[in-house]
Amino acid sequence: MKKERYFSVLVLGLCAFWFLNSRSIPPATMPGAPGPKFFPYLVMGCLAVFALIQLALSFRSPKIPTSTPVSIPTLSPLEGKVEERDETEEGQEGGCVDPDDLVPDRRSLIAAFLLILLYVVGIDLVGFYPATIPAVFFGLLIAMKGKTPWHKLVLPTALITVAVYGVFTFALKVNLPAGKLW
Amino acid sequence: MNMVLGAFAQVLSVKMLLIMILGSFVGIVFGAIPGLTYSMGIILLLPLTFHLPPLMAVTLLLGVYIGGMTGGSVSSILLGIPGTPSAAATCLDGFPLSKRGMAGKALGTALISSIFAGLLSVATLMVVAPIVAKFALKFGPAEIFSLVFFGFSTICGISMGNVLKGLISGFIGLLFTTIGIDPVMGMSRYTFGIGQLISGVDLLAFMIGMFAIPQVIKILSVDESLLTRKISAKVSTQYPSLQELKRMFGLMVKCAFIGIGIGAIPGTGGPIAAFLGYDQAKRKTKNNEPALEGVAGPESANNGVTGGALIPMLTLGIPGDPATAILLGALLIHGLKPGPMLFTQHADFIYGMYAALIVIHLIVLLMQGFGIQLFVKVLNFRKSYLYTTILVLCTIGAFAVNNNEFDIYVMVFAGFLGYFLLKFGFPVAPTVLALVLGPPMEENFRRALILSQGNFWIFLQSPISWFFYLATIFVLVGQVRRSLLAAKVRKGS
Repeated sequence: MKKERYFSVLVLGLCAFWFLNSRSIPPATMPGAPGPKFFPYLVMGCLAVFALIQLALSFRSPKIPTSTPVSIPTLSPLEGKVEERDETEEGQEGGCVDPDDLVPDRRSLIAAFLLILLYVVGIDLVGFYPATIPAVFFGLLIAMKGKTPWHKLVLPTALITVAVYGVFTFALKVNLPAGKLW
Repeated sequence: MNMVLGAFAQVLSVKMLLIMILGSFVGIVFGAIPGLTYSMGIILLLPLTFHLPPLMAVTLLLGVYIGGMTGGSVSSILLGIPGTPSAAATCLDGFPLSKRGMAGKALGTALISSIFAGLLSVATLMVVAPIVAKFALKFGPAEIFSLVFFGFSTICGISMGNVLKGLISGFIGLLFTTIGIDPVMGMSRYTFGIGQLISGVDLLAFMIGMFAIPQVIKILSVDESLLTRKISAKVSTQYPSLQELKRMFGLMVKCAFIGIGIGAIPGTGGPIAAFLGYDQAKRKTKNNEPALEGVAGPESANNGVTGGALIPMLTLGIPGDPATAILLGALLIHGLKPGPMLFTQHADFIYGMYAALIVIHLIVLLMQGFGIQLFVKVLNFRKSYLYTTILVLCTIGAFAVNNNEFDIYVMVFAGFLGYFLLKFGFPVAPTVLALVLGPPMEENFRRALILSQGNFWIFLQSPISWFFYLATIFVLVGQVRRSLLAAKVRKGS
C-alpha cells in the first residue's frame, strides 16, 4: 500500500507539472469552441481525481495482492529458489520459468538501468555499432552474474553484432545512427 | 472472384511465402517462450517491414500474431507455464495430460483446434468486416468520438483486475498524447523547450519501450540459471483421431465463435475467451479429469479472437488489445489508415490480407506440427542472449521509424516508465491503448463542438452515439463487477 501511496503522489505531481506548463498555451481562437487547453485540462482533472481516490484507498485497504497471476508460478518469489515439481512420465524436468516470478538482484537491476542509459547516450555520441558492441558484452556480463568468465562472452557478442549487421545494414540497408562526435 | 484469385496469386509468390514462414516462426517462438509475447515479436519485426510493400509488411506481422497465439500452447502443455496470457487456460488440462504421457496428443489437439478456429475467424472477418465498414461510413465527428470513447472504456478490460489502476495508467497515456502540435488549431503544447517534441511522442518508439524494455531489465537483473532448465524428453505432435475430432467438433465450433465474439469487443481478448472456452469444455466432459476437450476448448477460443479482433481494428480503427494497436500503428506507417475507407480505397490490400491470413494458418499448422522438437529446443535457449539481442533490436526499431535519434530516448523513457508502472502494480497496456486512442478522441471531440458551435448536445443527438455510450456503460459496469468480485475472492483466500 505504501508503494501505491508514493505512486499516487507522483501522479499528482505530474498533473501539477502539466498544469503549470498549460499556462503558456494560448486560448481558443474560435468563440464557443474548446481551445488547445481544454482536452489536457480534462485529462489532468480526471487523472488527479483517480490519483486522489488511489491515495485515499491506500490508507484504508488491507494488504492484499493487487492482481491475479496468469501463470502458474514455479518459483518461490521470496526465496528465488526452484520449488519441487513432479517428474513427468515422459521424463520432462520443466523448461523455463516466468521471469515475473523471480525477485531481481538489486545490483544487477541498477547495472541494467545504467547499461541502457549509457547505451542510448553512446549511440547518440559515437554511433550505433561502436555503442552496441560494449552494450551487448556488458549486457551479457550483467545477465550471467559472473558465473561465466568474461572471455567466453566475446564470441556471443561478436555473433550478435555480426548478425545484426548482416540483417539490417547489409541485407536491408537500414541507415543506423552514425554518432554526433564523428 | 477475380480479386480473390488475384489475391491468392499475390500471396503465393515465393517472396510472400518466405515472409509468412519467417513471421509464423518468430510468432511461434515468441508465443512459446514465457516472458516474450507476440506483441513484442510484432514490435521487434516492425523495423524489418519499413522497406517492404504494405501487404508484405502486414503479412509478416500477421504471421507473428497468429503464430504467437498458437505457439503459446507449447509451453502451457510441456511446462505448465503459459507462453502467452491467452494460453493460461490451456495449462489446466494440457500440463496434466503431458504428465500422463499424452504431451504429443495434447499438442496435436491444441494445434488442430487453434488452426480450425483461426480459419473460422478469418471467414467471419471476411463476411462481417465489409458490413461494419459500410455502416461506419455514416459516422461524423460526434459518432466517431462516441466510438473512440467506447474503445477507451476497454482499458478496464486490460487492467489486470484493478480498474482504478488501469484508468490511472490509461490517463497517463492520454496526458502524453497532448504533447506536440494540437490536432485542431495547430498550436504547440507541452514541448518543455525540446524542439523534437513539437511533432509529439512517437507512438511506436513509445510502444517498443513500454513492452520490451521492462522485460529486458527484468531478465538482466535476475539469476539466469533459474530461468532455464533443459527439457530432456523427445516430444512429437500426435494428431487426434477421427473419432476424437468428431467428439470435439461441436465444442471447437462453439468455442471458436465465443472467441470471435469476445475478440470483436475491444479490450476483452484472448485470456477471457480462453477461460470461457475451458468452461465450455468442462461442461461437456462433466468431470474434473484432464481431457483433450480441456485443451481444444481454450485453444479454439483464443485463436478465434485473432479474426474477431481484426474486425474493429480494420473497419473502425479501434484496436482491441496491444497486438492490434501495434498492427494499427504498422498500417499507418505504411500509409494505410484503418477505417471504412480502407475497404473502398484499398480493396486489393484487404483481399490480399484475407488470403495471407488463410495461408499463414496453414503454414503455422505445418510448422508447429512438424517442427515441435525445434520449438522445444528454443525453450532451452539461454535467455540472456535473447534479451540482449532484443535490446539491440529495440533501438533499431525505435530509430528506424523516423530515422530520428530522439525516438531512442523516447523508447528508453517509455521503457523506464513501463518498468516502474509494472513495479507499482499498474498495467502498461492501458497506457499504450490511450496513446493510440487519445489523438482521434481529442480531434473528433473538438471538431464536433466546432460543428455545433459549442453545443454539447451534439454528442447525444445520434442513435449511433447512444449505442456506443450504452455499450461503454455496459462494459464498465461489467468490468467493475468483475474487479470487485476478484477483490472479494482475494480477500477470502
